[in-house]
Amino acid sequence: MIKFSQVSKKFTIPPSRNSHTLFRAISRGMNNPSARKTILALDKVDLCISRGEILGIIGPNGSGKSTLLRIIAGIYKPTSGVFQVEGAASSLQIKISFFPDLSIKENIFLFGAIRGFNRKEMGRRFDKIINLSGLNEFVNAEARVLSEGMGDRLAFAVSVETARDILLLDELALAGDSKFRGKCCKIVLQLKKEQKIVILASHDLEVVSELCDNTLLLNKGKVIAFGKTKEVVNRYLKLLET
Amino acid sequence: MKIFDRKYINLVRELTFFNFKSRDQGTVLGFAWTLLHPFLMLTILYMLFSKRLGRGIDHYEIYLLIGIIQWNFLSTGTNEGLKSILNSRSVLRNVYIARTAVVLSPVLSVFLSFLLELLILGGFILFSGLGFSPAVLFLPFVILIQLLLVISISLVLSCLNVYFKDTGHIWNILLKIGFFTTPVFYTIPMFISKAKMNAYFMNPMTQLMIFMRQIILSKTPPSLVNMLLVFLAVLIVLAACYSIFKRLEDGVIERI
Repeated sequence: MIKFSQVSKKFTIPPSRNSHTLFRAISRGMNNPSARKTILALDKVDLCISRGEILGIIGPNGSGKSTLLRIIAGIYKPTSGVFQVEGAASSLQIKISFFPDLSIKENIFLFGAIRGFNRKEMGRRFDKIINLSGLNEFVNAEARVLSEGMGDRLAFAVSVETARDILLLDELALAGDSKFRGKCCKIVLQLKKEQKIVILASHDLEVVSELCDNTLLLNKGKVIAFGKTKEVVNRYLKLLET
Repeated sequence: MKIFDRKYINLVRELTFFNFKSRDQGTVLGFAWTLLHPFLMLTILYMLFSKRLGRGIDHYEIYLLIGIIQWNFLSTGTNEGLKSILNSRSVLRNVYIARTAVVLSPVLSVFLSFLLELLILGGFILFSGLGFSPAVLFLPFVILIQLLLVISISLVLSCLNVYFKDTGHIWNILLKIGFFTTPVFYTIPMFISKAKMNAYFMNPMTQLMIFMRQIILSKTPPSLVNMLLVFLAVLIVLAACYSIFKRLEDGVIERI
């Protein structure tokens, strides 16, 4: 289960690139508050997601979707509020950026290690990952040769095969051709059957409507609507019209 | 993921392997660059200083090589550590990963090169007819102390490098100063004042070089008291640097 209670996240932004230098910081004072600006990325978000649920997160760019996912993943800590995530935090993931100098095979084992799997455990998953991503001919090729679509397919396959309790997917994860997308949707629904939580942040309202039980609509860090997907998507469409 | 946890060790091993493999990948000489650097330095410094500063030092080439290898590990290890967080920003921003592992692994990959350089140094020692004594058993302890020192410095530098863009430049100036104020290619001057001498010996790299040269060249074990004192000092530095890293790491992730 994932529970958010009045969770807020503020970011401090320095005003210019020059303020990043040590000499400038010393000459102006390390903690000079006038040199800082803050941005409220999430504003008192309340949320509850149960096992076996697929949650969609929608909203315009800069609405706080990625920040919310990063808090769930343990990458960011909230500035205020309480949140509770039941599940293996190390298995949470948003989007994979592969190491271009390593081969596809080495990347798979490395990301397995990042998510807490040893070589033996990843060896058992390896063939499934390669088959799902359809990259059988590229196993020993460097990751730099992959196109964006191929990278997304591999990222999705690694994420799904190493997901323990919670799978976080960003909008790119379901990219690819329609055949692969159909495959992804089936897998996500299978994960739901296995009582796993899937959270999908996306601009693709069609995919969200097809997969998600409930949806959260964010705008400028605030929760605008949270509930049944159909109603929330309609609300978002109205918001886009205004 | 906790340190000493099986998953953490597996992660550090995989990342170290990745760093070690990709460091010189794509260059014409590949891994040979890693080993070539200290030996080119040896050739240059030996040609420049063997007649003046090396006078009176038995096996000056080995004396010099020990200094270069130890300094090279400090310099390359801390520089790789310094860049580690920014180099892994795309992973750190998108995946939950133990941040210490991201700093530790490039340092350990340089440590592997350091060990290989020490093996070649061993070959030099045998070739020169100097040979080894049982004092060599103290060598792993000296190596461990230096590894902990490099990790400590890297932990702090990796965070500072995210906050301040000129950290790398400042650190490299400090390393240059350190290179000339540490007995890498000369012996410890006996003609300076006591106060300056004390400051000189406060430099842990001076102590570590003295230990290693004593073990290899004098074939006698270093003073246990001195070794323990340096070890304790490095442990305190490590604890302080780790605590600074833990305080800064969340802010660092938000800035990359």
